[in-house]
Amino acid sequence: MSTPGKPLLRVENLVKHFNIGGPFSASKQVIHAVDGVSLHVDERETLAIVGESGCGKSTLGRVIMRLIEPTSGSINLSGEELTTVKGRALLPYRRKLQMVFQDPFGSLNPRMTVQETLGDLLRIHGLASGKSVKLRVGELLETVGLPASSAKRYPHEFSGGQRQRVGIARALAVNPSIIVCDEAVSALDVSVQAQIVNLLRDIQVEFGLSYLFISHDLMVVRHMADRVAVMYLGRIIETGDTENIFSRPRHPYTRALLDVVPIPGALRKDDRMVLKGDVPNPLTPPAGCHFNPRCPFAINRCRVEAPTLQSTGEGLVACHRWNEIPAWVDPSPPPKDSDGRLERLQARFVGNDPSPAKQPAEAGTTA
Amino acid sequence: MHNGTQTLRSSAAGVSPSETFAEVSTVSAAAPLMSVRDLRVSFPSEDGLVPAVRGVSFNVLPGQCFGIVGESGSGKSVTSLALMGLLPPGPGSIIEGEVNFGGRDLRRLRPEQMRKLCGSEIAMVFQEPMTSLNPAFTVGDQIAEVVVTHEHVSVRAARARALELLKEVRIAAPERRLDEYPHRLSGGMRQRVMIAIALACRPKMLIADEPTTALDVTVQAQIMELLRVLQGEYGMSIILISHNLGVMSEIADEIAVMYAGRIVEQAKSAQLFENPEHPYTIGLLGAIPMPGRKRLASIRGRVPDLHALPSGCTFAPRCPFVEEACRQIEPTLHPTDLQHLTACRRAPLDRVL
Repeated sequence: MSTPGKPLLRVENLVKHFNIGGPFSASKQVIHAVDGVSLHVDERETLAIVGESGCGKSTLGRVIMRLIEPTSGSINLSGEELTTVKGRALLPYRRKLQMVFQDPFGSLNPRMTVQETLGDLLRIHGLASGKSVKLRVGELLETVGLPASSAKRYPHEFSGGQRQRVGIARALAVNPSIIVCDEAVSALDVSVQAQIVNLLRDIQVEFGLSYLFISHDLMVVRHMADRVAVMYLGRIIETGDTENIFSRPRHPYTRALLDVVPIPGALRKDDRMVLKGDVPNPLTPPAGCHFNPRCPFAINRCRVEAPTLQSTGEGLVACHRWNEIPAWVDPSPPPKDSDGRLERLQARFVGNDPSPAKQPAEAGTTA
Repeated sequence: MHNGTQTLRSSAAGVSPSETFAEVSTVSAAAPLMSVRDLRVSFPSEDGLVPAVRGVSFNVLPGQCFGIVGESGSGKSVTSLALMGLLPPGPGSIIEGEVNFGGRDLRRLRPEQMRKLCGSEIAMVFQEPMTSLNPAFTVGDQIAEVVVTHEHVSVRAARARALELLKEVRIAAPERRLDEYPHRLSGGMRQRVMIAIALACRPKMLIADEPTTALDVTVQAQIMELLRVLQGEYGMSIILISHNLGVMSEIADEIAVMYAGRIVEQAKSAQLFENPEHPYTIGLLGAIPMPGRKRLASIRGRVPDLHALPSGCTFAPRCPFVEEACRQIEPTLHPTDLQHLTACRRAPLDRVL
């Protein structure tokens, strides 16, 4: 988390509809996967998109990457409109906008060594040629905490955490200004996840990166993000600074999410709100506010009129009743380590990261 | 003299060469419902035998929720499968040890005796409800099948019982769900159906292996709440296996932390979270993002390869508190506090602070 800079990525009213039912199906249906999303990410800033499965957060990331074509709306990267650019003309933008996936195995060619994968990438983008390719690949691997010698290995020879490091090196290779992390640490074991989270934060400071951090894990989001946007059924329902969202959530859905996050060692209180039912079928979203069937505060107006995002002074919230409902109380404050024993013991584990030997100036400034 | 006793005591706690398993298990008055003694499981592989579980012992008391937590490859799931006799008896696999349940050693039961016991007295819920449910049969039929098999009642009575069970696991519109196929249900509802099947014969023990791992947080909360309520209503014991320490702290009374095929620490839930003794537990808790935590603890290196376990303590190569002796002898689980077992020769760690 560093001081944010100028606006870098600006998304306005982005819409992605998927048509369900092929040419032979009787009824055509439309899924509003992304339903009018606007957001911005500033330089050196992390914006987290958080939500449960089916909320459209991954589709949003992919549409921004132009891996999926948007139905309508605008994606603006440092002042340039991306939605109208096509084909090879996208290449320079691809350099600025990179992605790290949940399953790095799926994003690495199993028949190419890491050297070949990263080398091709550098050559295609004209970032290195001849002998400098090998050097640069070694340098990238060391940046992400892998030995330069691992370039000779194939993806299957790496563990899950190491593979994610390769995935990050692949994204870093083209000196991006923003990386979309789609559940980048979700599939990893806790101890490996901590290493990757630390790495992502280290390289953010080192290279002045911005992240669009897509995750369902609220604890990781709280740790990583400067700002948070909560999505429900294709729409952003609340957004604001991380601290505000986590200490004073306004939307009933955000409150419900925070109520049920299991915090290790926290006393579980009984007055938390456990939502009933599941996320509704996105084919037939409820009328009015999408959240109304599960919302304990819903009134008639919520079933008829869809709320728009309005300012609370601290952020934006899409709820008719945000200033009428009682203030949220954290049902399970984190455990206290009164004598600081645990913290002192844990301090022995901090700073263990296979630190990227401080990067020589050239690596950081080749852009 | 005072000094002398202290040295003596601390060295005894540090080495603890010869505890028997009875002494090792946490002290308690009630007779355990299940008692596992020195469970060992090895699988054959190209590089020889892989020791997946290397001597695990624990007791589960009636009505208690016993949690087993660990990362991938720690042996927690293999342990749970071995308890139920669900590991394939493939050539070369070795399963040793005792699993005592209600006076019988489950490991010595004949397959048909085991089948009778599974489902009626011990039941299991897995991570993937979709793969455990048969897609070709309705939910009602699958629940009724268990009831008919174990309680020898009429199909009509079993169906009525199935409906009752769907109500018990709080499925909305149970009459309608009874005749639906699993693919029509959401992940959370499928897991409820699995729990309904598990509870069909009012088991004394439920083994839940990562029951909420594939579910969203709001649904996860529903399932954990359900397990907690049902545990109270039925008074059954639960063995909860999970990688998620947050989920553990929701319902577990006592928690065992596994690393490289062994229990490295075991304590009452609150004690484990507030005063962990084993360096692995300490590192693991520090690696979880928490409010106010600046940088996450990072356990250097990675989980050891089970083919080539380091000599001495298996955590020694990654441990910031390591000393030479740790690399020589593998420490056994020994009491470091009241009802608190730790397999670390340096525990209690307050000495090193």
